[in-house]
Amino acid sequence: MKKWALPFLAVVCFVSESIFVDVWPKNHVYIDYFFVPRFFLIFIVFAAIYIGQTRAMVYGLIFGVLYDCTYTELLGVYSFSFPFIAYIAAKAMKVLHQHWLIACFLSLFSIAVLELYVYGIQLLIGRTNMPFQMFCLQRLSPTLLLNVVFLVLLSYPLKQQLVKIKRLEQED
Amino acid sequence: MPQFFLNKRLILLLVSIIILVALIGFSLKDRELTWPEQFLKDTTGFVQLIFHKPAQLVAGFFENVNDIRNTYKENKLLKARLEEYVALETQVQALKKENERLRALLNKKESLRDFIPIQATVIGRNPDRWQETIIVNRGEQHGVKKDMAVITPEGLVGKVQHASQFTSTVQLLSALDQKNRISAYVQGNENIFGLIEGYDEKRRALLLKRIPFDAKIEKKQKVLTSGLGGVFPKDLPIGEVMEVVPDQYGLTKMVYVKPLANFYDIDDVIIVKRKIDETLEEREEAK
Repeated sequence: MKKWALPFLAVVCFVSESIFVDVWPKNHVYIDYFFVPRFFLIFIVFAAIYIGQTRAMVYGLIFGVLYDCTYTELLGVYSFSFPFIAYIAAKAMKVLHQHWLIACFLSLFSIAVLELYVYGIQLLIGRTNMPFQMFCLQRLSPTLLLNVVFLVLLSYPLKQQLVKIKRLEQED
Repeated sequence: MPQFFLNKRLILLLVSIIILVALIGFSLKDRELTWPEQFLKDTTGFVQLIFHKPAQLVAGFFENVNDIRNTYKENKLLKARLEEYVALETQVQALKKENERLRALLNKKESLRDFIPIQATVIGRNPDRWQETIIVNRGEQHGVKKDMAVITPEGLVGKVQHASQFTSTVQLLSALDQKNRISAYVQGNENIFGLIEGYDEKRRALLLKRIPFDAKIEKKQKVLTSGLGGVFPKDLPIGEVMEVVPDQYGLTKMVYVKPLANFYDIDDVIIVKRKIDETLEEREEAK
């Protein structure tokens, strides 16, 4: 049972993104602004901080591949960035003080980086022609807002859960 | 951080960037999904289905509560429309019978209009929304193939982008894709044919291009699929004419088409399989 706690948490975070977009009321706000849930990325950053770098990177790679195959059908984009962000987060924690608030800010920062990176790639391959200002206004700021709400509500329980998983593993 | 860019790591990073570029190049090609991708997609689709049902129940409850507030007004309107509907229904029945009789007379059994509907439920959406796609729970095993038309009761919403064994991805008409062309016509005394090419995000309208410059088109005329493109059946409703403007070069006209279906609020869709293709396949098999 203990063994399955972390994968289960990962799956929940992964699937909840898609479901969140699906049940979100489809009004003008939905069409004009892109609230992109990045719950799984938050999970990856927290896992990198509280569980360990290698495992966070492996989870990032596996679910990145899944993300690419099921949602975007553009292989490589997320399977590269998720492990990379996990690596950066783990490395950054060596310098920074390990605190829940700092973890939150780090995940927000990585969300912004990821959004910019995906925007760059979409622009490069010509799938979008959104100007940068529009991107900031319609995509980056709503996304950050949504994820701040998520962080405020659920990041503390998430952290507690991860710490508990880690402790149980160390006891074994 | 001096040890940040150790040689080994730097090489690893560079190699992964090369792989990334190669993979993106590979997936940009016009292609069918490879079997590992199909397998991953179907597995995730299954997990999504498990989580999706309870989530939708909860969301549906709140929607119902919202609907109840408008029930009285809607009921009044619907009652008024019901009588119109009955008259229309009898007319349609008569026309259908006549059509059948005339077809029998001509010995022409197939029509571009006939299709086999495949009912499907939306089980997921692309959360990053760079491309508006939805994932539905019907795949090749149920007869779905690439490029088939996808409709809701209101009208055309998109086409099948990729089909794997048990799920498929639907690309909505609002996606920015140059390859996404649909042969369509404006219904009138004289049908005017054109191609739907692209979507204007600011006006939320589809662009119907390549219309002869002398064509007479009025507002509110209906736009339907022509069935000449090869995959879509005839007469699926797309939208209404919003505005007619001259094209970039002034040689042809362009029409802004207001889509009938809501591209965003979709729960259930119908994937449309042309009957004429089915009969052709059967004939080939018989040979």
